[in-house]
Amino acid sequence: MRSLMMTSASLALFIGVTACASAPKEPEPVVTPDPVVEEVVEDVVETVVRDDSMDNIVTEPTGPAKGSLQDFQVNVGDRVYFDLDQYRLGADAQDILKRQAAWLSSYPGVNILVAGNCDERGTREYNLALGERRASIVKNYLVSLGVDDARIQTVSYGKEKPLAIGSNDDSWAQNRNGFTQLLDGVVG
Amino acid sequence: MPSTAAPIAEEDPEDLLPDFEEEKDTEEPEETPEEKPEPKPKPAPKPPADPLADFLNQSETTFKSEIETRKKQPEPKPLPVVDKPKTALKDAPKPVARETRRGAGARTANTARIESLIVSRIRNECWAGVDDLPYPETLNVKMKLEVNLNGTVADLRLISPTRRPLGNSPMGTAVDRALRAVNKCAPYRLPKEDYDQWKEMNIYLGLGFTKK
Amino acid sequence: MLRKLLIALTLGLMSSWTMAFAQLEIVVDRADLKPTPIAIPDFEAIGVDLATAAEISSIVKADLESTGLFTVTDESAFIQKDLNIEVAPRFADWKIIKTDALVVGSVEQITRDGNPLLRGSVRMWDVYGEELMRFEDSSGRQVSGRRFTTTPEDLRRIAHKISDAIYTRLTGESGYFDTRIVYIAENGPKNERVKRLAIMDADGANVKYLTSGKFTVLTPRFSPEAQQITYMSYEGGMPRVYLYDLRRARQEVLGNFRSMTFAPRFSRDGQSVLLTQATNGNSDIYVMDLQTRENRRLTDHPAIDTSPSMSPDGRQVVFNSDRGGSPQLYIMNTDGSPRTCPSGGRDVACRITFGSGRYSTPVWSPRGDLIAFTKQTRGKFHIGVIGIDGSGERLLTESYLDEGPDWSPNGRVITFFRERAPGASPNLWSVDLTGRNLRRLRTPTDASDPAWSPLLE
Repeated sequence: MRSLMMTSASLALFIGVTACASAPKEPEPVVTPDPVVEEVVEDVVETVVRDDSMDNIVTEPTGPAKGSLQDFQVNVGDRVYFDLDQYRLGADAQDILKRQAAWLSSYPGVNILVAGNCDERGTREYNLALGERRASIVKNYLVSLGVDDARIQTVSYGKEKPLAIGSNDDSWAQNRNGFTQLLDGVVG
Repeated sequence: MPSTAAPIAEEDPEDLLPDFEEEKDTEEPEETPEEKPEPKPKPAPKPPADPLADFLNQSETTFKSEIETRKKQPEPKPLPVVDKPKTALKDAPKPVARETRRGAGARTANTARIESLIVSRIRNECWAGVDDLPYPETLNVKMKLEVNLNGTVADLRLISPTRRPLGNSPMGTAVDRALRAVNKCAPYRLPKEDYDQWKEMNIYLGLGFTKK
Repeated sequence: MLRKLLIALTLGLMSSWTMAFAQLEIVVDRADLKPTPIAIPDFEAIGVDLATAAEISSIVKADLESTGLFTVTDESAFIQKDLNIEVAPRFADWKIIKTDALVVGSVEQITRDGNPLLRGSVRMWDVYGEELMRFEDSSGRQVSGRRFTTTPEDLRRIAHKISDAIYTRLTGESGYFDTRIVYIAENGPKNERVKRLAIMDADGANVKYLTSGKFTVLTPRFSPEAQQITYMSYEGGMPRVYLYDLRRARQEVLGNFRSMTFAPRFSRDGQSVLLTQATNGNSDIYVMDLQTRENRRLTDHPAIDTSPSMSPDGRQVVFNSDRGGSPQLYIMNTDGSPRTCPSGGRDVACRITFGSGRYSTPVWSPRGDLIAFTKQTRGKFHIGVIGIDGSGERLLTESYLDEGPDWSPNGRVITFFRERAPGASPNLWSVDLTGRNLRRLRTPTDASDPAWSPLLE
């Protein structure tokens, strides 16, 4: 739950244009309260991100509207975690992905980008491969649950885009993930 | 003793070529107390009494950068000197037995000592080895050295390989280093009485030459 | 007892009279590597100011000293001051200060076709052998000295060329001073890192940035032949392998792969690029011909196969695979034919690492006999080397993160990047193939993924 809240903060930054709710400062109690992932912006999906000035991320403390990004982050979960060196989906991860699939079937206009991430305790190139494998595992699972694979793009960031910046087990665990980002067609 | 005055002393081999009468003194302490390291315990400390030790010590006469380098790689300078004769003596506690085994006195304890002195000086002071070159075990250089009575090089010839390969190659470098090492270690200031023993020597540098 | 021995010794001495031809047998099997003492007095200035000549000689000194193989003799010890490049020195003056080799050089300004040029010349003397050390010039001829001419702006390159000549003459191996290093310049917080492609001289001078930092770029590698770099960029969103032409300052996507490509590396002849394509969770290795732009798949295995590096003769490829359960190094024939594995049996790909730990980023040495790698074990990272049959593994470094080795063009030095401790920024380092002479390469920013160019023309 903690990390879930944190990611909502970061995602709010990330998708500045469409972000609506939630004060970024809200999840203060989180271990690493940093506005993460902003960097992703440039490289990933230029189309979406473009000119998001920070002003757009106004504090607008309304509850998550159905079909919104916030809804997806808070009520569904946008991130699944992997064990060290692993790319198998545990039960928790499968639950989250089942909710993602259900959510996506309710909002068929939404396309997603699944990013595979790794911790820093591996080499760059191997981690790029491992990240790609994690992203594909997530994608394939969603497809197996009925999501049209044309709606899902994948990317690997290897160890280049850590969510948590610490160098310890907690941070590494957070950084081994598959991260589902909503690309377009998001409501409100 | 160190630095400034030193280099000049180096120039003049004559004033270091002394009294070989002392030589027997140096044999004794080595033989009796096996444990004791070097001729230090001598009661009458005539500073450079031992010409062999001089041969080793002449490299003290350097300037600082060299001294620094040397500090970094601590040389067990005196050790090989003690070491080798000692084992030789252990092998043959009874001189007689030794005689019979070696025959005709071709190699005395002194010969062994001269050998080990030259070996340790080449190893510690003059030769850089070939460990850093590709396939070092194939880079073996045999030379024949003739020395003048005053220790300078009279002739130095390559035996194997018979000549330095032209151009840049690991063997070329190995040959360069070997020849340079032998030249650099001169003058070989050794006991004049034994000149017959050391006026010619075969020098083998390389991993392929295992020690006898 | 003592007396007996003395008698025996005396007898021995006497009998040596009869053995007039007794020879000493001096056998030395190995010696510790000793830096070669070399004297490099300031070069003579002919028609240029003293500072220019001194700058060149001081770059030469720095180059040679950086190898750990030489100690440059302190000039305060010099006795002979009246050196002339055309005249033999007084060898005794140099022996006395324990110098093995003496470099005498000059720098002059000349005019060619109306353009001012700088010309650097050197000779080298073997102090103990009392003779001129002849060089081999770039066309293989034996010459008594080397002379390099270029435009005044390339002053540093004259110095590096001279350093390479001296290094080659004294070590028997080609040099690596007149080279460049391409790397990733990094700055910004860890989760928002800006990564730019950067290039500098091998001694850290002349840093230039080739990309703006708008897109993350990774793992650049130099072509061993041409002025080209291959690397991976996130430009356009999808990670793909690019080619960068240094002369034209232009980049292009390499090939039209349908999915992510990464981990590029040139073949040793520069005619093709090996890379990895990841599709649907599976990474496999491809080789792309740069002329025809056709690619061929080298591995076809459900495990991760990446980080390929080709042998100098082009016949074999070493790569990283987790097909055995954890990342390890494997070797295959470039034509895909089965081979006899060092561990027994025949297979298309033979595993060569069996030590405890994870191995990755293998890079074949230009000499051909060794493979450099990154090894992760017991919470530490190492750079190491291993024989191509998997024997003789040697770890050269250790730290929190040591990663991404690449060889100097002569196969003598390995550069890599290091994060000293948890949370520390990455920096470039180098280490001798033997594990000696570990040193940091200074860069204006944090830096990672260094790769060495070939010797420049």
